[in-house]
Amino acid sequence: MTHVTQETIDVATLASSEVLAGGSKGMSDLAKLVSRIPTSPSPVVIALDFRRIKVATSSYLREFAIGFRNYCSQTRPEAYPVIANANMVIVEELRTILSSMRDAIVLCQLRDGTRVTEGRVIGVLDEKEEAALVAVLHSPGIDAVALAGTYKSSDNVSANAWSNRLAGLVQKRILVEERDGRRKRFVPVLKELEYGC
Amino acid sequence: MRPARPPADYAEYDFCLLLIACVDVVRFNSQVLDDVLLACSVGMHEVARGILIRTAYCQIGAFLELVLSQRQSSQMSANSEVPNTDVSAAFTSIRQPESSEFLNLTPQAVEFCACPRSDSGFNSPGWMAFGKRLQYAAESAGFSNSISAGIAGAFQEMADNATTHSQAAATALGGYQWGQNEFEFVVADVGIGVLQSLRTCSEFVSVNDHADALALAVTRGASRFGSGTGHGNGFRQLFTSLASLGGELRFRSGDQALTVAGETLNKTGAQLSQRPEYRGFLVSARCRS
Repeated sequence: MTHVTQETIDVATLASSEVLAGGSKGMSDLAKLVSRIPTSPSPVVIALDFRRIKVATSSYLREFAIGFRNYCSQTRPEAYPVIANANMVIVEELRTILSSMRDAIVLCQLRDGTRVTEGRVIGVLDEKEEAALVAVLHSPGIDAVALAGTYKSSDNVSANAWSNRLAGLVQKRILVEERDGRRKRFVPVLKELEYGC
Repeated sequence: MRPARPPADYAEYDFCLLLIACVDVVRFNSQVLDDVLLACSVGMHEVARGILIRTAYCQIGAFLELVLSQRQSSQMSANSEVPNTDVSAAFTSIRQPESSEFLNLTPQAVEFCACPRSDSGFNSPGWMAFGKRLQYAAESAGFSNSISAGIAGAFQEMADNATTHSQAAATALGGYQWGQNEFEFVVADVGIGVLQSLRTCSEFVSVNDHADALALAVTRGASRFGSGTGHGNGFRQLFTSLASLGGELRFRSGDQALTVAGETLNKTGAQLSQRPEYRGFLVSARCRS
């Protein structure tokens, strides 16, 4: 299995503030963030640490957090951003924005500053993506062909369709795609990852 | 005591002036502002002037709305007097967001700053320092640390809206004022206003009056970017951060004012009323701890 490394970005330091509001500031901070992400030959989880942030509004999160996630999926395939240590108010803002955009993102806690725990997916996944995520959480490292075979009796979905669902989850940075020769295997972005709680 | 609304009948004009002469101190708030705007709209400039010269305390939102209305209206320009208070003094030295001249974080009693004109301006030192002074001013007024942060977030959201949606970012201004257990802020621009902004989106092209546009944007989060784009949540932050506080919120655009007032600032209690034309958008918030 590919080794997944981890980087932590202290958002309060990056943004020079504990109050983060407005899409314009989100975009401006996104530009700073992008310039600070090192390149990596292997998958790297980038934990955006919101520990010292008191307020982050949905407009800010749309441009900064979701914007960074989208940037990574388009131009930095090795980078997998997750939101760490967000307080309840920020999580609620994230839920609002994700619900309105029909999107989802990964949250977690950082223990001792670095150890990732309590990974969970919040937001909205469509039924097909949800089924694919549940399958990968049940069998980490599975590929589309194996999924089609495993669920053939209950859900007559082709390997190609499973592949599209998995690709959608990789785009949302919920799953990591690993190459094994010509095969693409999929694992959760965090070892401990829950959905639907 | 404050003067009654100016009578439509000009025979009562002298009586109205007499009434104003009896007023020692006028607290210039949104109700008095409405009286002044009404007086000006029916040509009773002396009545308006009588109120303004007796004003000893000015709410910052009412002040800025008066000044911007005077600049826009030919009816009012003949009467471009403003109350002579701390707020008008602060208005003569509006801070600039890109300037690094004033980075002190100690809150001022009252202060104005031009809003940034671009995304990067929201990270400029002058604007960041202004935002922190505003947050610390709310704390000094007696609001908790978390509520003060929420208020600062709401202010930033409104400033961002002005820069992003007004099509006249250079006209956008913000300000705050505080006293014991009381905090106010205002953000205003002289841009296209809510109706014209919403109508740039095909989803809202059928909206044809300021009342509907203001209600849609403020209470339902409508945005020119349309539904499902994750835009239009700025007012949500405003209502969320002030939800547990009493006070008043006032939104002005076109010929409408939308007001929320009471012991809790709940948007379900929002009331629309017709007012003289205001070009652009203005939001003022006053809250008590």
